[in-house]
Amino acid sequence: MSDRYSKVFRIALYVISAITCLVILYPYLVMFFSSVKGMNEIYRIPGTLWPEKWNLSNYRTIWEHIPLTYYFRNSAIVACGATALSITCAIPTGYALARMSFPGKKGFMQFIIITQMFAPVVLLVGIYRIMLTLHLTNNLFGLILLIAAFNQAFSSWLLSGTFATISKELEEAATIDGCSRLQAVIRVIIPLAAPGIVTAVIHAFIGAWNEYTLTLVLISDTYKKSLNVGIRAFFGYTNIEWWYVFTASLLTTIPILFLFQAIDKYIVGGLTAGGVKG
Amino acid sequence: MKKVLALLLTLIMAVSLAACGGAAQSTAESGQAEEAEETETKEEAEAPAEEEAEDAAEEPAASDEQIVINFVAAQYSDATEAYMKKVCEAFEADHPNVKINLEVIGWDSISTTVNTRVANHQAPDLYNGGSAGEFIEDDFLYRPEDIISPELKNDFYETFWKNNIDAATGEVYQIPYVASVRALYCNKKIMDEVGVQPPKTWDEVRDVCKKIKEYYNGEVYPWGIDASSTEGQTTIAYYCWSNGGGYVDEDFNYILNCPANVEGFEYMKELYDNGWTNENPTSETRDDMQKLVAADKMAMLVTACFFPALYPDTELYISDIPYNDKTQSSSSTLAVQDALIFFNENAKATEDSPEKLQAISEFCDFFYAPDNYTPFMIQEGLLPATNSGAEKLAKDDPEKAAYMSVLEGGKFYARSKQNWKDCSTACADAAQNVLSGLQTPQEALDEAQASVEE
Amino acid sequence: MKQNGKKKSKFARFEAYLWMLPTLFLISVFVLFPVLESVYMSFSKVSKAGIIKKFGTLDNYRYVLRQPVFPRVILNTIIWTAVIVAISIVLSITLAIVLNERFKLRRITRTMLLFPWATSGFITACVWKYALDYQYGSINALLIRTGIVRKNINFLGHAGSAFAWLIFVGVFVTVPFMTFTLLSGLQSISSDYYEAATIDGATFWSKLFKITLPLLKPAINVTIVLNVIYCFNSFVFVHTITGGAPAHRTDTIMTYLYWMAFSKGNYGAASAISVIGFIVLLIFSIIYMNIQMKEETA
Repeated sequence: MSDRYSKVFRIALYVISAITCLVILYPYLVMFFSSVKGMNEIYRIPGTLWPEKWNLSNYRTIWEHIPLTYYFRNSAIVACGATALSITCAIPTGYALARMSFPGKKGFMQFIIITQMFAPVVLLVGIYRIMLTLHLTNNLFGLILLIAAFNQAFSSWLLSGTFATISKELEEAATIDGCSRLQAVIRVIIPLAAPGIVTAVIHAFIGAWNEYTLTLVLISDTYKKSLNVGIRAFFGYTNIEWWYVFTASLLTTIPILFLFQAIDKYIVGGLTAGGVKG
Repeated sequence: MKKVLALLLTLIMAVSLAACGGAAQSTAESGQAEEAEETETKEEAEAPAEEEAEDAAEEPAASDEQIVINFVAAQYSDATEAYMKKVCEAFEADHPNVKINLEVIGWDSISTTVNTRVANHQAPDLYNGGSAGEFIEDDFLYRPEDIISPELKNDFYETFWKNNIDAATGEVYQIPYVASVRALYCNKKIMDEVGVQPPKTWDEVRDVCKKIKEYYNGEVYPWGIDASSTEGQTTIAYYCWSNGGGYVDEDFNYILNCPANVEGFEYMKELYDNGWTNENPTSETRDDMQKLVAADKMAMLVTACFFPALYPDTELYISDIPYNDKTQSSSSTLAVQDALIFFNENAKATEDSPEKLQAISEFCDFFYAPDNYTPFMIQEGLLPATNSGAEKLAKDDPEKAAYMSVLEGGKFYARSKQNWKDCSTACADAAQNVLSGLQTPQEALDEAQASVEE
Repeated sequence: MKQNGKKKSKFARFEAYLWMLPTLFLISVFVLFPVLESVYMSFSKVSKAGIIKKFGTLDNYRYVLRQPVFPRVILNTIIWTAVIVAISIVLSITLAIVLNERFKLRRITRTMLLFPWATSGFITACVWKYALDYQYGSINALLIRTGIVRKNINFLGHAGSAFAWLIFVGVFVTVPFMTFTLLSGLQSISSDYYEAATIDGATFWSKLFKITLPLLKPAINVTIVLNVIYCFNSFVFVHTITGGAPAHRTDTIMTYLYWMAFSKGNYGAASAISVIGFIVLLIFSIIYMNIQMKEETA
C-alpha cells in the first residue's frame, strides 16, 4: 500500500493534513484563550491574542451560574436516545430501499427527501400542535421521537447507499445456510456496513446534540433544558459574557470528542477486518 | 470485528433504553433537583391540606385547589433567573396554595417560544417579552385594570401608563415592567484632550466631530451610529425626533416619510459620509460601540443608561441628544419600557378561576413592591417604572436616580400601534439602506411608510 | 429458490413496507403533519398571533413577491448553497483520499475534523463572528502582529465580503461531515481494484478518475443532494454572524423567513416563503435527478 504513490503524493498528504489541522484548530484556540480572559480583557480594544492573565477560575465558577450538569445530562439523554431510535428505524428502511423492489419505491425515496426540504424553524407551530396532541411537550422522550423523525431521511438514504455497495452473494449464502432475511441483515450486512453505520450514528448524534429551536420551544422546565438552550443565559440584555459562553462550549465539546475518539478506533478496526474479507 | 460491532450496537441499544427510562424519570429527578426549595414549599402546601383532610375527601373546594400561575420572563442577565426564582418562592411561601411556574428565556428567542405556544392556545398567564399589539386583534389579553389593584395602577408613572394605550381601541393591555432611558455619552478623556464640550445642536455635533477627527488624525471615531437589525428603529428617535419628526403624528398615523424624518436621515448619512462615525453602522451594535467608547476609541455615543455601570473605569459626560436648532426643535430623550401582559382564556387551554386572577393580582403587588422590584432593577442596570420603586432607588442608588427625572420627560416608541413590529423593522431596514448607499433617505423612508401602511 | 420467489411474490410486494414501517410512522406523524399545516397556513389569512383566520387566499404569496428584496434573497440562497457545496465537495474528496492513506498525521487530522462537528453550529458561528470582528477580532490582531497588514480589515462591513466570510464558515462546517461520508464510501472500495491497476502501471490521476471517482459516485450523489438541502435550510450561521445586514443583502431564505415570522410577526408570509423555498429546492432535485438518470442510461 505504502509504495503505491510517489514521494510527491506523500508530501501532499502531510501538507494538506497540516493546513486542515491549523484551520480547524484556530477557532478553538480563540475559544480557549477567550474563556480564560476576564471581562476587562475580553472587552479591550485592540484585542489581545494571548491572555495576559490566566483566569482559569472561570471553569470553576461557571457551575455556580447555570445548572450545567443537568443541561449536560439532558443533552446526552436526548442525543443518545434520538441516535439509537433513528438508526434502529433507518437500518431496515435503508435495507429495504437498497435490496427490495416494491411498488412506489421511487416515489417513496422522493417523498422521504421532500419531507427534509422544510426546515424545523418553519414548522414550529405545527410541530408544537402535534406534540401537544400527543402530550409530549416538555418531555425529553417527545424530543427524542421528533429529532429521530427529522433525521430519518438522511440516515435511511445514507444507509441504503452503504448497503447497496455490499455484494448480494454474501447475504444469499447466509440465507442458504438457513438464516432468515432479518438474521442475514443482522449477521452479515450490518457488520460489513460498519463504516457507513458509524458515519450515520455520528451524524445523527451531532444533529441531536446541536438541536436548538425544537428544544427551546418544547421544553419549559429549567431542569429539562439542553446545553444549547442553557448557554444562552450568557447572552444578556446589556452584554454578552463571552468568557462563560466559551468556557461552557469547551467543557461540553470535550466529552463528545472523547466519545468520537472511542468510536473512531472501531472504524479503523473495521477497516482492516473489512479488508481481509473484501 | 463482529464482536466489536455487536458490542457497539448493544451499547447503543442499552443507552437508548436508559435514555427512554431516563426521559420518563426525568420529571421525578428534576423534582429532586429542586428538592432544597421544593420540599419546603411542598411541606407548607401539604400542611394545610392535611388539616382540612375531611373537605378534601369529599370534594376539594375551589379555594383549596392548587393554583398554578405560568410566568414566562425575559432574561436580562445570567442572574435574572436566580432573582426571579427567589421572588416567586417568597410569594409561594406566603401563599401556600399558589405555585408559580417560572420560565426564564433569553431575549433572542423568547418571542419565538411564546408566540409558538400562543398560536396553539398554550399561552402563559404572565409574559414580559413581547408587546400587546400582537395579541389584541385575537382578543387574547386581559385588560390589566381588571386584574391589578388600583394602588399598583396608580403607582406606575403616568407617562408610561399612557404610552401603553392601544391606538385602535383606546384601551390599555400591558403594564410597564422595566424602563431604561437613552442619552448621549461622551468620553471625558477625549473631549477634554481635544478641548470640546458635549454638543447640544446638530451644528455643534458637526463642529465637534470635525475637531476630533482632525486632532486624532482619524484614529478615534467621533460619533457612533447603531443601525443594526435589533436597534435600527432608534435612528428615527435619535436623528428625527430632534428635528420635529417621528414615528407617528398626534393622531397615531405613521409619518415615516415626513420631510423632518428625511432631513434627519440626511443628517445621519452626512455624519457617516464625512467619516465621523464607526465604519459598520449596519452591523455594529451599541454593545460593540460601548466597548469602543470605553477603550478611548470613540468619543460620543447615544446609548442606554446601563452603559456607565458596565464600564465603571471610564469617565463620561452625560448629555441630551443633540437637536436641530434651525427648525425650532428641541431635544427629546428616548425612554424604553418592556411590558408585562396577561393572557386571557382565549389564549389558554384552561379557564381562569376568580381565585387565580386574585392570585395573579397579589403576585403583581408582591413583585412590584419596592423591596422586591428595585433591587431587581439595580441588579439588571435598569430603572423602575413605579413611583414607589423610584423612591427606593433614590435611597439605594442616588447616582442612578438622577435618570428618573429624565425618564419622566422621555418620549416612547409608537407601541400604541398594533403593527409596531412592522414599523420597527421597516425603520431599521430604511436606516440600513440609507447608510449602505443603496437608497436615498427619501426613497428608503417612502418604502418604509408604504410597508407600514399595508 | 425461484419457486419460492414466485410463491412469495405477493408478500414480497409489501414486505418492503413492513421493513420501512418505523420510518414511515415517524415521518408521517412528526414531519408530514407540520409540513401540511405550514402549506395550509401559506394559503390562509393569519393573525399576528399566528392564528389562522380564513383559508383560501393568495395574499401571502402576493405580499412576499412584492417585497423588493425578495429576488435578492432567493439569489443569495442559491449562491450560498451552490458555492458551499461545490467548494466543500472538492475539499472533501481530497481530504477523504488523504485520510484513506496510512501516514503519521492521519489520526490527528481525523480527530481534528471531528471538532467542528462536535461543536454546535451556534457556537461555531459565535466564535467566527468574534474572531472576524473589525475592532477586537483575533484575525485582525494576528494579521497586524505578523505585519501582513497595517490597518484592521473590515471583514463584515460590506455585503460582499461579509457574504464571502459566511460562505467560508459554511464550508468550515460542511467539509468535516462530507469528508466522513465520502471516507466511509472510499473504505468500502476493495483494494483489489487498485492493486490490479498498479500492476498495469496506472498513475495516481488515472486511478483517481478511472477507479476512485466512478466507484465513489453513489456516495457523492447522496452527499450532494443532502448537503444542498442542509445548506439551503441552514439558518444559524447567517442569523448569528450578520443577521442579514445590511438591509437583507446577506439574508438567505431561511433567515429572511425567520425575520418575517418572528421580527415582523407575519406568519402567513413566512409560510409562503417556506413554500417558495421548497419549490426552488424541488426544481433543483428534479433537474439533478434527471441529469443522473440520463447519465445512467447513456
